Amino acid sequence: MSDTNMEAANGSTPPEVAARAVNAVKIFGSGSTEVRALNGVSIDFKPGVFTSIMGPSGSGKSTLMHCLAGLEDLTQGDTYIGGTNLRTLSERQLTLLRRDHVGFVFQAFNLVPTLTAKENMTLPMNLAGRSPDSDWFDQVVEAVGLGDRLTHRPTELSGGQQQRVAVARALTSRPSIIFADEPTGNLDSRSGTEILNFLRRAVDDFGQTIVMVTHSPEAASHSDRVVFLSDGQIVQELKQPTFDDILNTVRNLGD
Amino acid sequence: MRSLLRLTLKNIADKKVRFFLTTLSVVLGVMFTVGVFIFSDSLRAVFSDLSEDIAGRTDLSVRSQQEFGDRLAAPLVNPDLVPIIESVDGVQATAPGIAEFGIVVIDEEGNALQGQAPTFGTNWVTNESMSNLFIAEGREPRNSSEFVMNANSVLDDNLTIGETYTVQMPVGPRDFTLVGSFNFAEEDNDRSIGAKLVSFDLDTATQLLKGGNGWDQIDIDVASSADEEAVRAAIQERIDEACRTGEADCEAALEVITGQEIQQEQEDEFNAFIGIFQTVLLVFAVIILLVSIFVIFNTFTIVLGQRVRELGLLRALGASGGQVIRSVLGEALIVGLVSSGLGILAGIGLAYILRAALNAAGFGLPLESFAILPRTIWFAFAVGTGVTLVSALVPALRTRFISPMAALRDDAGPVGHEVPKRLVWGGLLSAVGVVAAVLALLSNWLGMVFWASIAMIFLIVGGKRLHRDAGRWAALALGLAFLMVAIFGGLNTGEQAMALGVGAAALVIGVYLISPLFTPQLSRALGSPLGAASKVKLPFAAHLVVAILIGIVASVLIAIPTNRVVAFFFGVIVTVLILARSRIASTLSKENAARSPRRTTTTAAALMVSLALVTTVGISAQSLRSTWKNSLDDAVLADWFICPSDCGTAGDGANFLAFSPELANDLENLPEIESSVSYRWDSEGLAISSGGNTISTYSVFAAEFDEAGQHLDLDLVEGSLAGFGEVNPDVHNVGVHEDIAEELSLSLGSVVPAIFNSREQPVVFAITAIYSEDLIANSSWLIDLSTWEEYFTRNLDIFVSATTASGVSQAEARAAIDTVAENYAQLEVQTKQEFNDDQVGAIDNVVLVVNIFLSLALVIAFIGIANTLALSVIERTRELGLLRAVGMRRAQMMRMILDEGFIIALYGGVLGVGLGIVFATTIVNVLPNDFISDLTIHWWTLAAYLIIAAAAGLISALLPARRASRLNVLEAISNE
Repeated sequence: MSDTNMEAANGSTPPEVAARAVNAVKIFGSGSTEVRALNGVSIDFKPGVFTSIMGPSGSGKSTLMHCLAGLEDLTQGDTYIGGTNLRTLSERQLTLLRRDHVGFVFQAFNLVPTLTAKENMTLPMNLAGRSPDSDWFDQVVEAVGLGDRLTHRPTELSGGQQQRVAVARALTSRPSIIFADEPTGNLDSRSGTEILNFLRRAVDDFGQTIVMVTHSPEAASHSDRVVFLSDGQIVQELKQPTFDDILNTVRNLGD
Repeated sequence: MRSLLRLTLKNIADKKVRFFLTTLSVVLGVMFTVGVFIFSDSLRAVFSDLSEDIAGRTDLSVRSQQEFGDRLAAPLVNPDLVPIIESVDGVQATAPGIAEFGIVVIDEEGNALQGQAPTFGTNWVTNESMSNLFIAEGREPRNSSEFVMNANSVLDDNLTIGETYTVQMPVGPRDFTLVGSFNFAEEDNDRSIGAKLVSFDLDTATQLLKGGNGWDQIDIDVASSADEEAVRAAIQERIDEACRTGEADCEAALEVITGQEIQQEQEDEFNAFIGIFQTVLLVFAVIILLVSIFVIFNTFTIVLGQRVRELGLLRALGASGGQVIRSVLGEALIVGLVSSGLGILAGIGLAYILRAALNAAGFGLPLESFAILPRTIWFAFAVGTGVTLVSALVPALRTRFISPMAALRDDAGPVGHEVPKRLVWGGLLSAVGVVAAVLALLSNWLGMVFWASIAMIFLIVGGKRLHRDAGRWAALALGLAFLMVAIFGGLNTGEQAMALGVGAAALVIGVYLISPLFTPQLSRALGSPLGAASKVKLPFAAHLVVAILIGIVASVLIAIPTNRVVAFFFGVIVTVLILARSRIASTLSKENAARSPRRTTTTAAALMVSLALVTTVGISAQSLRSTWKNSLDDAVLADWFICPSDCGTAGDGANFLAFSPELANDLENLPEIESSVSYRWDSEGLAISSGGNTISTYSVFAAEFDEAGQHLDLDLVEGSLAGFGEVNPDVHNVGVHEDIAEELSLSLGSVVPAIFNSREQPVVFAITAIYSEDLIANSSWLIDLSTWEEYFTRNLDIFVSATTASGVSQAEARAAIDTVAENYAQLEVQTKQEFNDDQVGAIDNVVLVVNIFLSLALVIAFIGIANTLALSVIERTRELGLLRAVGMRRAQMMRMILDEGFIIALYGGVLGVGLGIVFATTIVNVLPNDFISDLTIHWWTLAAYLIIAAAAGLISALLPARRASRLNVLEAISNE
């Protein structure tokens, strides 16, 4: 059932949301150690939109992303990928959903050290027992500019190159949505800008949907929409923001 | 899937050291298995070739029929049958066959020429086409003063053709001139496999080897034109008729058999022997493989723990739990296949080494090539791969609990997971377990094993759903319950042994599961001597002195003399390393060992199992020794014993070395000797109907028991041995062991019909004594020497005892005995004390061999410790780097890891020795009291085991410690 919905997500008539959270509550621990990481968050992510989630440390931005990606359960409320309510999926179905419809880019790159760049990029496809569409793959490789680095191992690549491999990995399987967790957090500013440009291009040229968690107003300024979280709640939202808009909002929230 | 396979392969290729360490334990186990198979298969093949060579030259043979019993003791064949057989159509020629064991040549220096293989004498067959012996040098023996010997012996022992030598014959020592040497079985190659073989002319052989009473067999050459089966039938008919009519005097019924049948008989006998040898060795192979399971299990657990992040990433990217499990099992499969392959190669190497070692030790093994059967290869692959997969199964299955979140966290810990409490499920499973346990306790044999395994699984799985530790305690309780049943259950010995085995296995598992609960306390306690030692400040020279002193103490403490050097060496090492301590390092290492209880326990478990076995064998052997010693002290009264080098009590091998009764006669005539007694033995000398159609065979022990009363105390329960030899043609007075009496429901005065080996006429026994001695009489029927001489063909003694006449000193008696015994260079003269020590000494030899094999299991256990430490150094790179960054010196770092090895080894050692004490105590209680009863624990030997374990633990830690101390601080800190 999730598959048919997902087909629709990939098809020519896009559903109205790529991902959605409805009244999401996530509580860690219990009793005196109880932490309310999400406290009733409702939000939609439209297809073809690049959204940033910002907020101070502990605001729940990473938790929101993990819950949206099906990596963690909600305590209350629902999350959707396409039209599928993640709560209704079994562990196995969740795994398949992640494999086929969700892409990840991590702060720590998280490449498999024993595989080459190319093998890392095609890993999700291979896990699914499919071979990547070679035209698409070439396009992605060209976009991230790693044509001459495909047979290198992660240890032989710079941080920026590793993260480009990770972005390519997320793009290769053409997921409905890509979640990026501080993708520029471990990079110098030049490499970081490169990565953000790639993400931008993925949205503009390929119609990809991206949700990015970030601390950096500079990074967030590459996105179409910025959502601000504080204490597990959405407190502000900006559309087509400029760097200064974001900086001002961050300052105001910091008080 | 394809990429996962590639990932698996790359993981292996990338971590070669880790891979190598994992395979090593499997390689050793497989190596041993393969070595055993190759060696025993090769021996079989060689022997099969040989018996083909020997028997292949004979078409048919006539010999006496034997329903039961030792072929050595078969009645002889009358030479008068030769013309009768030759008169049958199709018979081309006949040749007499005579063989007698214990025919020993004495060289010029008076040394008896005998090795590990038998010494025997035959008749020289003049008909060349029927002979197995081919003159190599000189000529064949032609008269009663000549003999020939096999070429290898003549060469090896430097005999000179033309010289005269003394040869030990059944009639006593005789002098013969060596006139030639011969090749055995092959025309230009002596294939005597280390045996010493002599041959005499027919007349001499008949008279001196067989007392002129006949031949062992008559070999027949059938004309090539004749039908062998028809000739066989015709001969059978003709000789049966001859015996019936009295045309020839036949001692027993005769049979005609083919050369192939004889060959088969010999091969079967040899294969049975090799089969036992092979089974015993395979038991050790199984032990080694079982110990490897712990090592592989631990390696996979740790390695997967280190790969949690990577596996979590795979999960986040969409690998299903099944895919991850399969990739881990795929890695295990490859490890298994590769290590089996390496193990096979190593096993072939082992066979070569074994051959060289055995040949150096004086076994002339004729193994020119090795037989590597397809069975050996696939068995090795099945066992090696199977063991690896089984060990990796649990760690692999645990990976399904790895959450994709593991990839996102920095502090991704090892794979762990708490079983949720499910009271209903837990209760149900446990209930099944309890029912199975009850069934196991009530059933016997395989039922016991089956139900106990079921009970174990259900109790552990169910118990852990009821309470975190309930399953562990249940396993322990089950083990103890079985040991209790073994001791108090009133079972027969076989069932007791079974219960003991099941209980021991359950107890090992129970202790393994329970001990992590106490690891922190235990490892702190075991590590405390290290902390204490660190306070002692001594100059280095003082260290050495103390170390050597402790080494000497350790070597004195250990009970097995051959291990003294090892104990000394280890004692020194431990002390040096303990004294060179630093306090901070020892505190940290205690905490390191304590912080991952499960890992410490699993690492120590391999050592625990091996050392439990060593301890069990050690204590059992010490107890057996002391039990035997006590009962020998009670049983042996005679002052002197004269016996072959393998001085002995009645036993299966004794007859190969039996010697002339002349010796006992000569002793009897010495004035310094009060009396001497001859002892004879047949392992299957008589048969008695034990009700219905079942006939059981028993061993027979013969002596002049009237007189033997002053020589042996057979611990009579009832009756007496006086008047034993009174000849009564109808009824023979006999003694019987109490166990046999019970088995056959006989009591004093019972009269019972019996059949002596191969005789057709039954005899009647009247039981006049019931005895309980076990070691010397070896649970036999006692008959008088006169009865033996009436019914048995072979009148050779297996040993002789003598008492000193009153008023004669020991030295005078010895000198007198030596004047007689010097003619019998193959025999030894022993005092009562020496005789007893010799008997008990046999136990030490067995223990030594067992310990050598078990030490392979110990080696694997120590490889396991090295492996775990190496992996945990990698795992803790960052932490170790931090310690170095804040000022820990290299030497301190090294000591910290060494101490961890010390603590883990001591931990396994303490648990293992503890288990061994429990097992041995149970064994001593379970086995029949007359066999083993005095529980003897040499505590100091156990202490020496612990010292050795601790030292080996330190040694195992050397390489990982070196590695840790050489970490680049900066890299280590930035390591992820």
